[in-house]
Amino acid sequence: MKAWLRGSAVSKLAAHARAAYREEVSRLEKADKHSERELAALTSRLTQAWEQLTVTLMPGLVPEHLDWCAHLLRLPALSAEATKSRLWRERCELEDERAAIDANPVYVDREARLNECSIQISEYQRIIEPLRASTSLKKNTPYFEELILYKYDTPDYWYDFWELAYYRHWKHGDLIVEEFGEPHGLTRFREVQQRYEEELRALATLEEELAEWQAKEAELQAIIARRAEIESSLASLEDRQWAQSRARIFQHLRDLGGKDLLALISSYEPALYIAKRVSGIQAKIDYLREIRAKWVLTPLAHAERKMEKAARGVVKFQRSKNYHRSFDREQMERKYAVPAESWAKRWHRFDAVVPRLLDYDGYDEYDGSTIWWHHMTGGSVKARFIPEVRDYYAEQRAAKMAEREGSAQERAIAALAGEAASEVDVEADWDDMS
Amino acid sequence: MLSEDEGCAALKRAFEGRGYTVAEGVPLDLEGVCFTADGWDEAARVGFEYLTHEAGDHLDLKPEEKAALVAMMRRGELYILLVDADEGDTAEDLQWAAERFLDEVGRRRGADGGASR
Repeated sequence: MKAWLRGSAVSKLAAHARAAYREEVSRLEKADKHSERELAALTSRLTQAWEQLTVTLMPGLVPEHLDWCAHLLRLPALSAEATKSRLWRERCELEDERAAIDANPVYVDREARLNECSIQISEYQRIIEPLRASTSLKKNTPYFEELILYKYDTPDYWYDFWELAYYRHWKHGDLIVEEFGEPHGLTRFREVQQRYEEELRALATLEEELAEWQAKEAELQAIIARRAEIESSLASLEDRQWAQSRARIFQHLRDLGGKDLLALISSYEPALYIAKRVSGIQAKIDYLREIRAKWVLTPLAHAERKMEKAARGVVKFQRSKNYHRSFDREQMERKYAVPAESWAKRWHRFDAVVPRLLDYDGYDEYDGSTIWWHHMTGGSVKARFIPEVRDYYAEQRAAKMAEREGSAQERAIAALAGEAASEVDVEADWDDMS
Repeated sequence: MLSEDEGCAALKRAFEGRGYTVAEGVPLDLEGVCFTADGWDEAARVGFEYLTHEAGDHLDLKPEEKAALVAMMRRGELYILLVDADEGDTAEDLQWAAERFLDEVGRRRGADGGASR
């Protein structure tokens, strides 16, 4: 027989689910922030480790060392000959350019020319400034531009004596003549306008000439700056070439997988330790990203959706039309069931593996016989959603199965010979908690 | 900004100061141009029309009607001061403009610009 629940009780179920999801969301958000911080810190440590590795592999531009490094990394571009050739080519280009600048008469006379530019620019600015002020003042005076536009004080003036604008212009025209004309002996607006237009023409000519001097000065400054830049480039030539070579090493090694990197460097002990750090930190970053996506971000999005649904349920079943209505109990309990057990399992795995991954610092002990995951976690949790981890444990299991099949055959032969056989659970060691 | 009423009052004062008898809101039909003048002296055939968007006057006095009025003024048959309102105008500005307008009317009619001709 079907059991029923009142809307009021369903609302309580929804409220309980909402609270549980809220708590889960909050825990996941904290875990997400923590993962984000750890990823940022690991990325910074990875950069430092790469820097350390490239410096260890190439401590300077010493020819013997360059050849050794080129040979070790199988990167001929790093050889002493190739490096020397690059240095020589760049030095030649810079020296040629410097010589061309030194021979340029503009650069030879730069001091005198700059001085001339400076004097001319100051002089133009001294003349231009009052002209700019004067024209700007007139332009900004009320009705000044309008009077010009309507051809005031000319036979072509737009307005006639029966229009008020005629008198408005008359009044402002008089004010303008009083302010800008009378001090200069000008008595008509047209004279003030003529003077204004002359000022504008003079200003345009002067500004054009000023711009020419400013362009000359800028050109000189650019040549001087380029000459200084060349000097600085020549002085830092070896340092830059060293940095470029290390960048080349980084690009070359970065594209290799962790195993290939270690194999390549295995013969050089000082670099091998740092390469293990690089490889291990990179693996940590990759694992942490996968864990964050699978155990934090995906459940977080799911829990947020369920929390919102439960919150809507609280409101829905509290409405008067639902409050005393009866609902299928089983259906409602299923609807608002909280998967606490599955959360606990996930958190158990998360807590079992993430601190171990983050705290791991024994990079030097890694010998390349397993994957970093197994080395760092001891295989206590097998996060098979990470392809590398899945493949690794699948191979291990297949190997073990093959080995045990062989043993079983031997035991069968032994049993036939009267020995007791024992049961073997092949799965026991490979408990996958993911 | 000066309102239309304030503007008309200022203009009326100026016209009356010069001896004109100004009637307000006079319907006119001048050669087919029909509008209500804000101030009009029928005897002197002088007046003013305050044009504001607020009153819709700009819409009422179409360009061709304005052209007909101008033609009549050019022939000296009548004189109407057309006031296109502007934010900056004061009552004093309007009075000053009206004085200059009436001076010109007087000059054109060969008198002193007053109503006594």
